[in-house]
Amino acid sequence: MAPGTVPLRVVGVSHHTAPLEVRETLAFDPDEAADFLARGYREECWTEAMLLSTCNRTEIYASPGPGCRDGGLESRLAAARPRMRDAAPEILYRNEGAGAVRHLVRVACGLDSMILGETEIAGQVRDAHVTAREAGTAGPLLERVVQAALRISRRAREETGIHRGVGSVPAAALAVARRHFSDFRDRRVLVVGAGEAARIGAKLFAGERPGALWITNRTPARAVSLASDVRAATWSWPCVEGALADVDVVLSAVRAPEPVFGYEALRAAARRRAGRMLVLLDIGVPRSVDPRARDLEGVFLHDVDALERLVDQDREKRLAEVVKVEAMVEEGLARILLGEERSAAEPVVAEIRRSLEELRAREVERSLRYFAPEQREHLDRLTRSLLDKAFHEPMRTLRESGPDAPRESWVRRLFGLRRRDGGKGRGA
Amino acid sequence: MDTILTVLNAILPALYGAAAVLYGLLLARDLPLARRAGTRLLVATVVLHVGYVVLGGVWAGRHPIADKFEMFSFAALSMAVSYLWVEWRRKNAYTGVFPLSLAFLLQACASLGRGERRELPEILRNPLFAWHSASAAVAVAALSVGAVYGGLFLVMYRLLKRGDLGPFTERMPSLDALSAMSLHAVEVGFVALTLAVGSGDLWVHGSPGLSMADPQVWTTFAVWAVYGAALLGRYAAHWGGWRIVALNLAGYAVLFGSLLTVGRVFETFHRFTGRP
Repeated sequence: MAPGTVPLRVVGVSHHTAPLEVRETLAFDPDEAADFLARGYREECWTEAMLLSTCNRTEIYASPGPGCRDGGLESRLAAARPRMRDAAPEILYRNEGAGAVRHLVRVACGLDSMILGETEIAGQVRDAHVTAREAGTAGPLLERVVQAALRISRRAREETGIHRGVGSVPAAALAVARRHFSDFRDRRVLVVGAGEAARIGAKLFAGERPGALWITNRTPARAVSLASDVRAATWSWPCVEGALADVDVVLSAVRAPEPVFGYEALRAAARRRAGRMLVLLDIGVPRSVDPRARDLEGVFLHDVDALERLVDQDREKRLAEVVKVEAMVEEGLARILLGEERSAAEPVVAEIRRSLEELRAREVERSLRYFAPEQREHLDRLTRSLLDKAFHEPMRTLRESGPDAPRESWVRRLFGLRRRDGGKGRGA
Repeated sequence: MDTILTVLNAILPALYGAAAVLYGLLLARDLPLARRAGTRLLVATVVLHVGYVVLGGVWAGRHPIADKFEMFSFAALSMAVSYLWVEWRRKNAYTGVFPLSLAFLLQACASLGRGERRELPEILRNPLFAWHSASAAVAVAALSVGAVYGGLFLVMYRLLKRGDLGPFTERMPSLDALSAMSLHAVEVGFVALTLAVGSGDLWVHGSPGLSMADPQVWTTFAVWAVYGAALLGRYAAHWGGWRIVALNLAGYAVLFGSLLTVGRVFETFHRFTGRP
């Protein structure tokens, strides 16, 4: 099928084309996205539209109606985000038809993500579609294409290892903590630090719904701010070593010239814990936990080197799965395009059926007087059955081959149907 | 019926062996096919094994766990069932190779040692003996499962202590899950062992010619004491981690040693007249 058969276009900016400081000026929250879509739908000639905006991409998917001008999506985006006008034009990428569908499927599968194979993006695509639906700009085309993209993404997750493993050091820290504890609901977690890594780590651990989550930082105000973001409590910084006897996991993401957790404090804590596990995840540089902690009973220390090695290993494993997922994308894309062809043929098929049914009903009506009343029902059934059987194969072929413009015109002439522009076909 | 029993006796070790191999492949290569095939094969094996035990009892016209080989077979079945329960509860099939290898060994011993089914002597027709032998088999199975997961806990503990974050530690259940699985199995085993000791004691006192002066009884008391100390440490002194697991493994070493040596040295599980 030639590109462009599916009436879908995408225009966007992503981490591949623009740095964070540009991307963040182009991001939309859900309310802004709904407003942007509704206005574009009203003022442009889009028949359907969806806006996908995450921290790594802002993309508009739209089905332009007849008479839509080229560059409409770009100018609409530039109007909503004036910063676009200052940015280099190369940051925008465009695709249409099968290319646009392929792009959406690859995005949903995490193949286009900054962290290859990440699974959050599928949920973000689903949310973008919900927003478009609520704004009244999603129609049957987006319904089919988005649902198919999400199906392929689910299959990729189920049948390959594209999403397995970890994509960042804080995620690796959580993965390692899970090798010690299968459930955090009755575990207590302490996050040391309030920088970016600590913030990401705190959010990840908060998602595990631990029994208790504490944040501590040298600057108490920053600890309070992070704690309120992740619904945690704060722990007093001067008493941080005292936490070792109580908590099960410590995520230390702080830069300190001297270890925050010295050997003596760790040894005292290990004694009081009587063999209960204490997991120390030290992702700070320089290290904030005395490395001799490894010698203590029940104390496990994993430093940033070990966690980075894990991230690297997992990245390699995910890369090895890309070929399989790309094959699924192409297979799924072929199905989507075939489905689109078939659904494009549906109006013609329906018109032919309607026309033939009218003809049949007319002829049956005309002949009814030659038949006894008890035979009339048989006549009706017989003619209907004849028609169904005679036209079953041609209709199936028409659905499967899909009507490109010349073929549709030929079929219309063959069956004497009206042209789409309202003209009359031969013999109708 | 004898033919069916003979066929089942021959194929059960092969089925347990094949299931252990599939689970081994799953652990080593993470093949989804091995996961599906392993679980299905094991379920089929358990169904056949239940049929084998029931048919054996019906055919002999007595309870089906009357000698040490029948006890081994019942212990293998109990292990397979408890493993399937663990797999279902934990949604983790990577540990299957370990208990199933043990189940294979137990069933292989049972199948090789299976002789003609004879009439039971009068002394073993006592219902208390049936209770005693069945609960002893369950105890052996549960304590074996506890030892397997305890052993895995110690391996994981060492690997994580060394900072080894390779595929083994990724695929295994977490350390606390292994510890809990081992502990739960030991709890079940301890209760079953207590029942076996209690019913055995009642049986001995009610049967003239039997005596508690039996090496198997002494070692069983030793096993019971070690496991009792481990559980006391866990619940009274709140011990955790490798201390409990180490005690559990010590108890299992005594149990396994007694099963191997006492039976071999004294030729029978218990020193009494009228052995089966």
